[in-house]
Amino acid sequence: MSKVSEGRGAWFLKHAYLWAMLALIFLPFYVMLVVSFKDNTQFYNRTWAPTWPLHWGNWLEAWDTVGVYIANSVFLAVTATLITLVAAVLASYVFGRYRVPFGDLFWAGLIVLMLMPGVANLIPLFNLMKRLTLLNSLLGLSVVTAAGGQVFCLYVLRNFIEDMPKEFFECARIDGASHLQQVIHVVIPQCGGIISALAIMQFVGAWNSFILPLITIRDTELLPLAVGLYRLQGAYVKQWGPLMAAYFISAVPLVILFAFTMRFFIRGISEGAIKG
Amino acid sequence: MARERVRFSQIKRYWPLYAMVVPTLVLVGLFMYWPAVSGVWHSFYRWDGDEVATYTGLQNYGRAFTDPKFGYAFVVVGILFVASLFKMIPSIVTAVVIHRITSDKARYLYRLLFVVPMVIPWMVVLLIWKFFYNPIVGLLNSVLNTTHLMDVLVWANAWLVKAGIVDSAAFVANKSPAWLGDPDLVLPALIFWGFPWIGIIGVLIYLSGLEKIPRSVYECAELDGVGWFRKFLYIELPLIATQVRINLVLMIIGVLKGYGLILVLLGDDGGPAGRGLVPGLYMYYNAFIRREAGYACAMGILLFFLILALTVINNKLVRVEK
Amino acid sequence: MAEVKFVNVSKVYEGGVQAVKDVDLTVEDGSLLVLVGPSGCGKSTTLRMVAGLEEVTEGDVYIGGRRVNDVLPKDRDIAMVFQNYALYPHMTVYNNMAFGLKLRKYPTEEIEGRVQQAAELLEINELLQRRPRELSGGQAQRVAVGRAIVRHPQVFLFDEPLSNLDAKLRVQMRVEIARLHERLGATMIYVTHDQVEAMTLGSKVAVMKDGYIQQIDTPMELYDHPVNKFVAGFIGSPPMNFMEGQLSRAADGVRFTAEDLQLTLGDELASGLRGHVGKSVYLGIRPEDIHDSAYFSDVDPANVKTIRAEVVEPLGSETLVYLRGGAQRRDIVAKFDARSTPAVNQDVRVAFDVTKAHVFDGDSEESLTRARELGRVG
Repeated sequence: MSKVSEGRGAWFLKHAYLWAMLALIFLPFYVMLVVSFKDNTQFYNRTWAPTWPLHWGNWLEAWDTVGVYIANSVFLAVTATLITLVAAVLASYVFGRYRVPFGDLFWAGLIVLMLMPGVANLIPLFNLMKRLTLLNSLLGLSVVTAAGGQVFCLYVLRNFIEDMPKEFFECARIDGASHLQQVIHVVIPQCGGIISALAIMQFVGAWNSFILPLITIRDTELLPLAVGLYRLQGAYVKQWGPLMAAYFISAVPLVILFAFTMRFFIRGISEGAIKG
Repeated sequence: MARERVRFSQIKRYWPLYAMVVPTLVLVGLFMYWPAVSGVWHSFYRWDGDEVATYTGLQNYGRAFTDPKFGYAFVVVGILFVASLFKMIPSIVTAVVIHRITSDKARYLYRLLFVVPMVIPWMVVLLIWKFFYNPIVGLLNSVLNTTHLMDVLVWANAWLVKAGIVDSAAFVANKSPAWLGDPDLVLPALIFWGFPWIGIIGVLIYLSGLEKIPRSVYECAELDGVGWFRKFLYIELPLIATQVRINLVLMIIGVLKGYGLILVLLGDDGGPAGRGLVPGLYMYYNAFIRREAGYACAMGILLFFLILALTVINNKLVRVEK
Repeated sequence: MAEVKFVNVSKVYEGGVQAVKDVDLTVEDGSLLVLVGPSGCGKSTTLRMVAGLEEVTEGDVYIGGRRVNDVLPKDRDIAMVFQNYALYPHMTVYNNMAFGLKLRKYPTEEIEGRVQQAAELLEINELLQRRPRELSGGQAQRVAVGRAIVRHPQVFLFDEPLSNLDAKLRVQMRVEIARLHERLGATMIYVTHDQVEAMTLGSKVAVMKDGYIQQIDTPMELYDHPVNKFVAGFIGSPPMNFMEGQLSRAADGVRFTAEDLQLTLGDELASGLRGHVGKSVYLGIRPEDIHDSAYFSDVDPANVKTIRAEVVEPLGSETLVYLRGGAQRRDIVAKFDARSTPAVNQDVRVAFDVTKAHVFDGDSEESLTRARELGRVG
């Protein structure tokens, strides 16, 4: 962009626009923060402006309730992501490098599955889980979530592996590597970027999962975050302070995740957009 | 790149490959194919989701075609889709503005700042908006009142009623509009949700596309004396338009399938007078609340065929593009 | 004994594409054979059949006397160097080289010894602890070669290893590979599309086109006695000039008439050509055999012509002159003596050394003069 033709007006407009947008976007967080320190009297009197004294106790109360949910979600997200990636990496190696009997049929089926509205299959899925005693279990939920994540991951990974120069694999073959060793020493190092991006996507997806846990988990202590908060806003109808604090706390783990992995994610999205 | 063919007969030699596919096959076969097949099967039955199942043939399908609520659900989806098209504009504008920022450091900073909201769990965002829409303590009404926009709305409402155009009493003096509780306000509330409608993933994707435009194109335009708006029109917009066109059908499909948002904001019946009903939610409602799972499955199959048709059309369009 | 032998080998891909057709080939133990040809000629496929990376559709491949059609690549005792090095990015250079040995459970001291030895040979000792991304192209290629050496294979396979390097580095590495062959004395098969590499490296060179081997010979034989128009035009830089024309009888031999150029082919050439009088043929003559008549006198005056010089490129060691082509033929490229300085767009007196010319059949493109040449020599 030529700096010469940049008028001061243009510069100001651009930055002003962006900051205005940012202000609008961050408004909810400001609200959350402010309200989280209020007790109900303060809330009803002056809802939006900060009020003193700050009720730190709200946060403790929130943590007591929401902490469990967060732990559940961590378990769910980590387990689901792991299972998804292990299964997907192994399978996409096979699909990307070889033509397996019925392989094309399987792929066509995957595309069809992607198009199905999930809700129609919920009841049969529920029954299946019941029969396999996977109900009311975070592990069961992880497994089913991993199944759902396969389609996208397989699609992306298979294309990636197909596009990789054959030489890497052939070299390993000549060196004497078994298939599993080829996955470990060729696929994972070469596809590290896209695998990380997929992992992050799966993690966030599992973190946000709502419908499935809603219908399968019964015990309140096992609820993952989204469902927990949903139930909470019914129960907490009058206690706004702790509620907001709970929302805020819920956002923290993902912030930490992103702080560490943002670079991968942005790069992964760009690569994905290219291949797209 | 030619892939080596694996023959079933040589299973002894290729067994590791077969073994490696097993986890995926089990997961997908068991938890995705099976429920789908079962869904198709049960669409021909009257089923309560558990044991009771009586064969009813195509009755569920017939019912779906004549069910006014089902049809209305598609109208809602149509409205929401059109709205979502407009809601793409802020993302595009933001991406372009960020792209035009001269300082690299500033650009990186903005990207960072805009990405942060992506980190908030979706449920939290939804619940915050539910809070905003709260008639008594919600932010929206507070803002409207403080800026006296509320008075404008009340005036407009009265004028429209007098002119016979509109029939509702949504905005009346001294009454707090119930955005999620008033049947007339439900759809506007759903459309307005998410203001300022800057979807981070969209921005990032547009940005990465914009960044691929070679510098030389801009420099050429500079030499030709093209102004900033024209630059947008001829350089950036076509690129984004292409991306949008490719994603258009995916968007439609997404809107068709989605219902979690409505569920949280309005409840499982689609809100007051069912004004916010979408197909997905209606299926959920039938399956889990009214225990008419067979009917829900039938609707699901119909929806699937619609999505399939749209995808086929999309593929034809995309091929034409290429 | 590490002789590589192809007997009647063909390779057909699914979908019917025939990449390699009926190849008979023997690479003697300890020799370096270069497979050269344009893209898609089947040279890489042939190499990969030796490695076991492609299945043999028909025929037999032998390594060291053993039929290896159904033997897995890792059991064939071969090592391969690829075009894009294919180093494991997450391992150090040392581990890259040791990987194959580790997989075969060689004892650590043995591995250590072999890697050090190869590193010394290739002068990459200081690089052993580095990662591939820190290496330059030339260094990475050397590591790839080192990885092959430590395996002490029966046969070394090179698949266009220098194509990714810049010109100067390519020349350097070429010399190193030649030297390596001297030192190790191992059987090597080398694939390239660059005829310069082929000429300089190979004790024997196989020229391939469209899946067939056109000719296997020493570099000089390929240059002096090409078996057909393709080989003649492929070997040598700048490439041989071809003119299409007719043969006619003349008092002093056979006359070749192209569109606007006539050359008299003397008695020696004429003897083998009489049968083709009246037919259309190609006359091939190399730039180095077209001279400025001021500096070359050993020529039949009938073969000195006046032609306009369109482009002149003084190279220092010689001068390339592009002589005007007619409506139906391209420019004739001539390599003049360095002292010659023709002016651009001026007529020059050009001497065609017809004794070095080749004549090719108009249809089959086979050499009509080769048999005579060989007969004369042999």
